[in-house]
Amino acid sequence: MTGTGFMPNEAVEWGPMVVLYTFLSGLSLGGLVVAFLAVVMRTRDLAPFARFSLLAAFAFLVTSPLPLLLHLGRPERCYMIFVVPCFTSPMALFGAVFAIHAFLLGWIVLFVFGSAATFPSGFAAPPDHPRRWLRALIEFRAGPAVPRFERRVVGILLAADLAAALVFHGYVGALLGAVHGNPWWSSPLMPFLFIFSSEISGLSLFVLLAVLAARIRKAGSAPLPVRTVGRLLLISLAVETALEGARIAALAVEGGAVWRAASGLILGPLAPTYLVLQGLIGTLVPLFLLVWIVRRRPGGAAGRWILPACALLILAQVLAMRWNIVIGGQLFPRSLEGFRMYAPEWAGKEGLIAAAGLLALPFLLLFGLAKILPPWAEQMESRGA
Amino acid sequence: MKRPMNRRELLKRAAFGAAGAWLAWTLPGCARPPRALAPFPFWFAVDPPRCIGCGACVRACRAEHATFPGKTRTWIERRGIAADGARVLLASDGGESGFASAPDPGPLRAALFVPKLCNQCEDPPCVRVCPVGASFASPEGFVLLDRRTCIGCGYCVQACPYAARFMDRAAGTADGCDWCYARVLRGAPPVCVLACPTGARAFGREGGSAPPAWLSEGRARAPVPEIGTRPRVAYSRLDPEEAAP
Repeated sequence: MTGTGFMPNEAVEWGPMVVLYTFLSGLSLGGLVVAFLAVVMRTRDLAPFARFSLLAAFAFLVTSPLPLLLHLGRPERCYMIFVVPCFTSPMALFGAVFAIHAFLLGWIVLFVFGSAATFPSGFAAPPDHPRRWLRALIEFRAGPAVPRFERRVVGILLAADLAAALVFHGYVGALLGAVHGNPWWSSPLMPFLFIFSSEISGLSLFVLLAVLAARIRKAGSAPLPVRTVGRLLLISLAVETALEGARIAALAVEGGAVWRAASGLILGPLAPTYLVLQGLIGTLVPLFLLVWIVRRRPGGAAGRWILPACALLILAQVLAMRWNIVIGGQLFPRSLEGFRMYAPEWAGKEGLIAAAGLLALPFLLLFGLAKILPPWAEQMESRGA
Repeated sequence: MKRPMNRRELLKRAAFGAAGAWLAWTLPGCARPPRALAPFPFWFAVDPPRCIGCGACVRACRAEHATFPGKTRTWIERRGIAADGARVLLASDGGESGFASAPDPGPLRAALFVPKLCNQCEDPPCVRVCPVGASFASPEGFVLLDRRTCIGCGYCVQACPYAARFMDRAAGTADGCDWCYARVLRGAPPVCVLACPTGARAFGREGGSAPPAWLSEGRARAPVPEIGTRPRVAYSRLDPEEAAP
């Protein structure tokens, strides 16, 4: 094929902000999984991290829609997705699923942290004062007298929210999978691929945050359960790799122009981010290292640093995977003949600088939340919670 | 003395009130049929062998609708087969300035100018994916876009398999061809049909002017039929090597 192959209206309309949204929202799943394992599955070595992981999940979930708002051409109309939803659209359903997930997670955070929150002095207001009401609303807790009841309620909420979270992360994939005109996106495996990639990125973030928190706190921090988290990461990464392999294999089986476009994309414009970053550095290297961690249980510095290193590589893999799927699907034309190169802009509301700023936001929010809501057990005890 | 409302009761009432208000607001909208129930009364026929690639239709459309620079509601593709059998597709500027200054693809064994526009699909993906119902079907069955409701998510742009939708960056919304809906309601044809000097584009109403023989005899081609959108624009030919019907 000669000529451009592109119609005049074909452009990369979903840029770095959509990529960042799919990445940020995925990061919230890891914290929820850790809290679920600690509270519901009673995984003892994860218990010290349950509150911290909940806070992390909350910080990343509530900030995840911000890139989408920046991406919208008319962000001031965003409320319409809730007011006049068109339920034939995966995006409208996705708004409802996000609302349910965020509501449940917020409720859990209120329930777990409510009475342990430290308030600014202004909150010591007289009865009937609006500030008093606000404080009462977030003291959503049965009290220390009935810990078993509390544990059960939190467990039920966590299970319900994990189910909502899995639907939510599956929906992010379904949004793309529903575009039948684009063979790079249109795959029934897409929701499952997004669920597992969200899980591994969230768990990786949890590992890095736990290591960072231990360094900040210095003394008294519980050791990171390397083998437990490593095993979880290994299984999820293996499943995610298999799903991605199956997606590409399905394109190869379809053959013809679809496979010519897909293979040309992988070997052409996406080669550095797909083959090198997502495939080699972000998948194969962590897979080997995780197998080593789980089977050999290395001690010393290797034991301490290999899991965070794996986590960093997996985070890079998932970010590359989001880029490859979202941007990659727009690099070939509807005619499936020819490719374009894409270089994101630095400035502007959808530029890389804005994206970096938004990426920092959940970390700042988590830092602020950890100041108000004590995430570690001894802090809760010292505040009489 | 009336008992003051406690927090639990307040929360419960607020939650039920909010849920009730939301359902009352949204359910009537959800009950709207996604597309018109009556048969679509218009036809649009494109006969590519008649097209000379002059771009008059594209320029007339831009003048009528003042579309965003660089994007277009209608365009012309130049499709060809090179001497060595390689396929040629040129459409980067939509043929707006004609193809005289377009890159020379070399000698062609067969060539065709194919005018393109929104296919006004019977099962339009742009309507299905729009989260706020800004893409919708009119009572007559036209696929329209309410730009006062559009949130500018770009989902319809991605979902259209024909690249007929695009983003208007100035307005922050999507935009696309509607077969000049306002003109058609007044009984006038779309401007691209009026502007075409060779009759490559033809438009009419059932029971009105007669469609071309190849259309009434059921020999029309549809672009990318396997996607199942059932496009309403009928083409006499789409492949340069295909014999004329």
